[in-house]
Amino acid sequence: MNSRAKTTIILAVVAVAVVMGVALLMTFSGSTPAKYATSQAWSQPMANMQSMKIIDLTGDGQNDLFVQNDTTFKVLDAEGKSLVSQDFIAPLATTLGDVNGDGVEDVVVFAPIDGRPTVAAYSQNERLWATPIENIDQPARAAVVRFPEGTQVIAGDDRGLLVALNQQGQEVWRANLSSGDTIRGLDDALIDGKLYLAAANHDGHVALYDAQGKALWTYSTGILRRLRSYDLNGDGTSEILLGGDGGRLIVLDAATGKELVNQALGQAITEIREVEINGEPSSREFVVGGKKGGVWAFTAAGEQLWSNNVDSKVNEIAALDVDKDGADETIIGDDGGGVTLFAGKTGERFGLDGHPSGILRIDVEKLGVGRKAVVADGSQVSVYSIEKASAPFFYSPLVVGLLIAAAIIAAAWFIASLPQKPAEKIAIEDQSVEGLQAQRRMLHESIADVERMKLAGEMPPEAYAARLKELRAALADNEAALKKAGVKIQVETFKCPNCGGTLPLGTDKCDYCGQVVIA
Amino acid sequence: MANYDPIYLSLNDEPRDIIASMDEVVARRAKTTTTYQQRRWLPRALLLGGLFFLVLNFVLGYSGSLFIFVCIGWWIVAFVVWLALRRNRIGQRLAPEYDTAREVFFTLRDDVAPKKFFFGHLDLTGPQQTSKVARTAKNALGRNVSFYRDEWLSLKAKLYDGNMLRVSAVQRMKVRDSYTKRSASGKLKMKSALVKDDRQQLSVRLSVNPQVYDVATMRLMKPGTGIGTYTIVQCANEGGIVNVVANAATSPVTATDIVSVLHAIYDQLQRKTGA
Repeated sequence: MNSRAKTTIILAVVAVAVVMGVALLMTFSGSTPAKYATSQAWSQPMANMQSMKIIDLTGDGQNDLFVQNDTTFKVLDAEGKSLVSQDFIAPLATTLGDVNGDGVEDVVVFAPIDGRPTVAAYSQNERLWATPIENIDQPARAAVVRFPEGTQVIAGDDRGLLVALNQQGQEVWRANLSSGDTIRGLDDALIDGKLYLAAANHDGHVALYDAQGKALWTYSTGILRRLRSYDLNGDGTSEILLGGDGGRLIVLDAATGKELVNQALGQAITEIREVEINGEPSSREFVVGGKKGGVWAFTAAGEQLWSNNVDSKVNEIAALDVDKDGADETIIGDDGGGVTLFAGKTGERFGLDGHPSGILRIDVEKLGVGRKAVVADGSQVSVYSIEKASAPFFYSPLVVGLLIAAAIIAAAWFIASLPQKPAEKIAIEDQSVEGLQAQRRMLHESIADVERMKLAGEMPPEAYAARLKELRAALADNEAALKKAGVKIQVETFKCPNCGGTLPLGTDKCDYCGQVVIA
Repeated sequence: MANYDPIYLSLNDEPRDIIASMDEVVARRAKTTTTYQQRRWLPRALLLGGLFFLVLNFVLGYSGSLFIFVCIGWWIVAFVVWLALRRNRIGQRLAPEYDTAREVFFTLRDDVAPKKFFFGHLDLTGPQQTSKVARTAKNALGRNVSFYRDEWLSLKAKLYDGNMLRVSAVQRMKVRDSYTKRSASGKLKMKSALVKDDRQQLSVRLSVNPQVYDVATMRLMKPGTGIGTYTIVQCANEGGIVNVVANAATSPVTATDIVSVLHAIYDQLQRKTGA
C-alpha cells in the first residue's frame, strides 16, 4: 500500500467518524423532522375581507363563520352555506358580542343606514334595534364590552369620537379620544377581573374608559397601527399591547397605563396576537408581525422567545395547536399571499400553500369536524385542515450520516486503489557495482565531451554551464552510490556551500555562483 | 503544435532492461488511463445523486433539510474524487520521439558489448525551456529571438565489435518571442511566440576499434548526401574517429532515419581480414 493510499484511508476514517458522530448527536439531541400539510375543505368568493370570526352565531352549539367586507356581512355554516347576509353602504364596521344577554353572540353593525351613521344590532338574522347617532363622522370601529354595570356597544368614528350605547341602543356616554384622527383599536381590558374599554387612535392617543365613559388614564405615542388587550400573566389585570409605525412594541399596564415594555423592533408593527407559544398555560405569550415581514415571539414579560420572518408585510397572525403538544403553532398571513407556520416552541418555519393575492384575515377555531384555519385573501375565503406529518424513518440524521459515510468510503476506495501515475523523471540505471562503475566512466566521458564541445565553440557558455552542472551532480550521486556499495573510490566532487552546486575537487571558485570555496 | 506529456529518462543499463522499462512506463500509463476512464463516472454520479437528494428534500418538505446535507456531502466528495482523478490522469500522449528512441534502442540491443550498458538520456520535457536557450538575438524589427538547443536523445555505448558509439539527437528551434504592441486604434495586442525555424540535428561519433576495422575514405558519405529525412552536413574521419552531423527539416524524425545514418557510417568501415 503506497503512502497516498494510507493517507486517503486515514482521512476517510476520520471523515466518516466525524460525520457519524455529528449524525448520532443530531439523532439523539435534535427534534424529529416533520412537515405541515393543508387540505382545503371548501372556499367561496368574498372580496376585500375586513373582519372574519369563527363563532356560534345561531345558538345551535356549532360554530359558524362570520365574514364581513366593506359592504356586506354574512354568516356561513360549517359547510360554507350562507345563513345570514346583510348589505350596507360603506364604510362598514362590525363587531360581535352578546348584546341582548340571550347567551348567543350577536352582530353589531356601525354603518350609514338611511343616510345617517347608525349602530344596529342583529341577533340570528333578526334586527334587535338600530340607533342613528347624532354628530358623529364616518364609522371606523365598533366593540361590545360587558362592563360590570351592563353590556355596552361602543362606536368609534374617523375623527376620534367614541359613543357608547346600552343594550337597548340608547346612548349612555360619548367621549373624544382625540380630535382629527380615526379610532384604530377598541378592546376590552381587565383590571382586577373587571372589564374596561381600551381605545386607541391612529394618531397615538390611548385611553382606558369605565362604564361611565370616564378615562382612567391616557397615554400618547406615535402613529398607531394595533391595540390588543390580553391578560398575559393571568393576574386578573390585562396588558395592553401597542404597535405602530415607529417600530416600537409597547406594553402598558391596564390598571395604571404605565409602560411595562418599550422595545424597538426595527420596522413598523402591523399585527399583534396572543399565542400559547411555550405550552405553559399559566401565562400567555404573544407574537408580533412587522411591515417588512419580521415575526417575533415574546413572553408576557416582553422577553423574546424566537424571531423569524416571512416574505412580505405581516397582515394576520393566528394560533393553532396542530400537533397537540400544548404549544400553539403560529400561522402568519402576509401581504404577498404567503401563509407560513412557525412551530410552537422552536419557531421553526414551514411554508403552507400560498394564495394569489395578499392574505387579509386568518382565524382558527373548531368549524364542523375539527379545528379549521379559515384564510381570506383578496378574492375568496378558504377553509383548511392543517395536519402535522412526521418524517419517515429514512429521513433521519442517522441515514443522512450513513449516506455521506458511504460516499466517503466509496471515494476513498476509488482514490486509494488508483494506480500511481508514472513519474516524469525516471532513472533506468543498473545499481550494481559494475553498473555504477560503468556510469562513472560514461560520466567522465560526457564531461570531457562537453568540455570539448565548449572548446570547439559548438556549445554556448550558458548551455555548457547547465550541462556541466547536471553531469557533475550525477557524478556526485554516482560517487555516493559507489561508497554505499562499499567500493573504494577517489572522491572527485564536493558541494558549493553557497549554492549547493557540485564542483570538482581542487576548485577554489564556484563555477555557478562565483563564491570562493576552499576544498 | 501538439502537446505531449513530459518525461525524462536517465539511462545506464543493459539495452533489454531499458526497453523493458520503457515498455513498462507505457503500460503503466495505459493502465492509469484505463483506470481513469473506468472511474471518471463517480464524480458525475455523486453530483447527480446529490442533486437527486436536493430535489427530494424539497419534494418531501420536511423540516431540518436533512437531504440538503446529503447533497452537500456528496458534492464535496465528488469534488475531492474529481480532483484526485484529475491529478492522477494521463493528460497527453508521450511525444513520438519516445517510440523513436525505443526503436533505436531495440535495433542496437544486440550490438552492445557483453556487460556493457547504454548510457545517456531521453529528454522529452520539451525544447522551449529557459534552460535550453542556446542564445538570444534581435531580429530586423528589434524583437527578441531565442535559439533553443534541445538534446532530446543522448546515447553512448561500447559496441560488440569494440567501437564506441555516441549518438546525439538535437532539436534546434528559432523562436520569435511573444510581445505586446499597441494597434492604431489604441488597443494593446498580444503577439504570441512564432516558430521561425525548427529542425532536427543528428550528431554521431564513432570511435573505431583499429584492431577490427579500417576506415575507408568517406567515399559514400559527403555533405549534401541524403539519408532518409536527414541530409549530411558534415562528415570527417579524424584519426579513426568518425564524426557525422546530419540535419533534417522535418520534426519528428523516425528511428529508421537515425538507424539509416548509423548504417551509412558503418558502410564506411572495412573489416580487417582475420579480425
